[in-house]
Amino acid sequence: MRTPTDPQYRVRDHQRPRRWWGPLAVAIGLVSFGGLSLPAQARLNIFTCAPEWAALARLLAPEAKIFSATHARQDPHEIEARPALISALRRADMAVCTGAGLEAGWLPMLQSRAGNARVMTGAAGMLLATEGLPLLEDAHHHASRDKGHIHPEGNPHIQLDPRLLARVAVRMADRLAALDPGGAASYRSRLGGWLVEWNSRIEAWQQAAKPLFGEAVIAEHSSFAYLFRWLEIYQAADLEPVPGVPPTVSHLQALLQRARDDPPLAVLQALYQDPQPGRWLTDKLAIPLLTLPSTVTTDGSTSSLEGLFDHLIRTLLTAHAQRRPPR
Amino acid sequence: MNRLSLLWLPALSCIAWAAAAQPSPKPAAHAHGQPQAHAHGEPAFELGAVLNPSWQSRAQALSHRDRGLGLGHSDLTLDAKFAPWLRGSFSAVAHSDHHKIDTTIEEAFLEAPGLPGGLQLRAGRFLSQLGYLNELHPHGDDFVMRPVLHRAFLGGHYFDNGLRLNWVAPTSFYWRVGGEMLRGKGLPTTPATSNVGAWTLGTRIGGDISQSSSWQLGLSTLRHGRGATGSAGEAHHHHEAEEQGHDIAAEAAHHGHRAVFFGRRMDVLEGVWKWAPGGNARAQQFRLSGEMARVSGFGDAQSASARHTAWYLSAVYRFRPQWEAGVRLDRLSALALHEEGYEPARLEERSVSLAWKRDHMTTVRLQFTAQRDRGGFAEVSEIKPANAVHLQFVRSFGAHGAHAY
Repeated sequence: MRTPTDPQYRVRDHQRPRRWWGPLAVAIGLVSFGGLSLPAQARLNIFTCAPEWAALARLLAPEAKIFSATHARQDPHEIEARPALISALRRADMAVCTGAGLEAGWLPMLQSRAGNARVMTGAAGMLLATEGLPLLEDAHHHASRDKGHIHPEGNPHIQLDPRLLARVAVRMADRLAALDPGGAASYRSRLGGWLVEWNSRIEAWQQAAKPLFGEAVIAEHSSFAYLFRWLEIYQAADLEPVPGVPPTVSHLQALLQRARDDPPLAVLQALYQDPQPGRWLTDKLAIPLLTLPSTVTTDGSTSSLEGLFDHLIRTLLTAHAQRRPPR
Repeated sequence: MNRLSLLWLPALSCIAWAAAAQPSPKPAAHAHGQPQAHAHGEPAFELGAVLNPSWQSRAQALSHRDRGLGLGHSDLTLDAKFAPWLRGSFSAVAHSDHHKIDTTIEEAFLEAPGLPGGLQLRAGRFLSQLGYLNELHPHGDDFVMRPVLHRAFLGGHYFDNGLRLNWVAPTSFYWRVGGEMLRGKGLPTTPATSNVGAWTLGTRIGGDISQSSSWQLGLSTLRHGRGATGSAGEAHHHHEAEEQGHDIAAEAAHHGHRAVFFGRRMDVLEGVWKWAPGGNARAQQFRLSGEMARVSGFGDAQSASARHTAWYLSAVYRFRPQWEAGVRLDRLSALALHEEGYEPARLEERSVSLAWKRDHMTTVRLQFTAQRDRGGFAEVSEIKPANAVHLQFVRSFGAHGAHAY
């Protein structure tokens, strides 16, 4: 019977850790050496929390390496802090996120796991798009999102108001110039060119959307609230009974009762939302269900910002033109 | 003053150094964007709480949950952000253990999460990053009880006082390497009046396979200054704990954090695979996760091959946005000390669960867990393997931290 003082026992105890240390130390050494010996990259590495910020970044800094953490078919509130996102944030020189609590369920986890001081909230490399912008009151994000009680920040889905996008672009160009002074002149000139073009598009969209003025719609969540405010459309009801809670049968029944006499123009849903509840309601009301991207998509005609607004307005106008005469 | 508490000194100086070295977070002066309101100086605090009452039809082996109504892991958490480079967290936990409500401080740490070069330093009391589940808060778990692996080897979950240094590599895939130096008292083993010391070393990699699926793999090891004799004597630990007064070992033993099978060394292999159609996890998601652990270096009459082993495999499917169904298979194969020497003690546990998650704040879970003695376990466990129905309600209030993968 061996005891702790037995020499054999000790040998075992002391030798084992070494087997671990050796290969691990070599591996760490190799990788850190590899990382350090890479040529210094001139290209900025930009991480964005949403596709609309990636689209803006591509306009201002087309030469940068741009990564979007999410796409239009994902619910931006419900993103998992996946390893791939942590590693992307780890390598970023700059990050652009929405802020106002939209990413509260996942961005803080990415930041705390990525260990990248450049993109911590408050650092120069982290741009929060909603910061400093007048946000719509939003009962949704106030009442029930987990962070709502602490930071009642308002509706964060600002990307569907093109005028706010322009303001974000101005701040993004400033931030890019601050982080990469060598490219400052080109960021500013690209911004200038884009703003001229964008403002004329805004004019054109507003003209085109005039028939929609004062129309009522039902939508899911507050995803399209900024679009409605811009085009002066009225969101009569929300498919969600309580924000963040999917539509329930009783809530849909109540909506049907309320809307039956004077059906709204359409029901709007974002690509990532479950179409079934909207389909049920639109069948009963004999109005169209419009499943629309709430941000730029990965491909197709809505893969650019102007394509997105063209599509949204065209779809609403079509619904308006095809509306059945009131019974 | 012992060796380990001296480690606080370099830790604090590192944090102070990082503070001094941090570049001004303000963008260049000509930027006419709005200055970030909460970015500079002002600390931000968030308070949150989790209430987790549950009911079970009977007591089960390797569980501190009582028959009937009980309080699961419930907490009160304060998260503080002092500056972009410095955060802290404090959490006090309450749960019932054999018809008493026990409270303990589970986390109280300061962390510099963004030191130069991808380094991260944490000091204080925290959940050890050993394996996959241990560093996560139990209220986010997919099952009412932690896997048998954690209950048998770590007393549910392992937290301790110490230091953690992590490095995140700037690679195209996720790669973390980290080590912790701990007091070693969070694991009640043999009577320890001095700090026995423990350390962990681990690495974790992960990434996306496609837009729909992602993975993570990890390997970690825990070394403890002193291993227990591998016995399932829960009463024995309680007794020892009482003799030690109010040190952490005693606290831990009282609170159900008893390592029933423990050794000087524990190695854990972990793996996670998640799938969501098109990457939209809100609508539908499948999660497969598992851990495998091996405990060695216990007793003094054992050959080098004496081992406790345990593993679990968990599969959870979110089939509608608010509904999740899960199955988990747990196995434990341990050696228990009898008068005539070590004898195998094997336990199998199978769980099925159905959860309704109204929103982020509310979860109701119904679970059935069947335990089966696969040889020698019933003789060494005070509570015999049994089948039980669990009903759990988890309600969060205020802020709670973003969830990890």
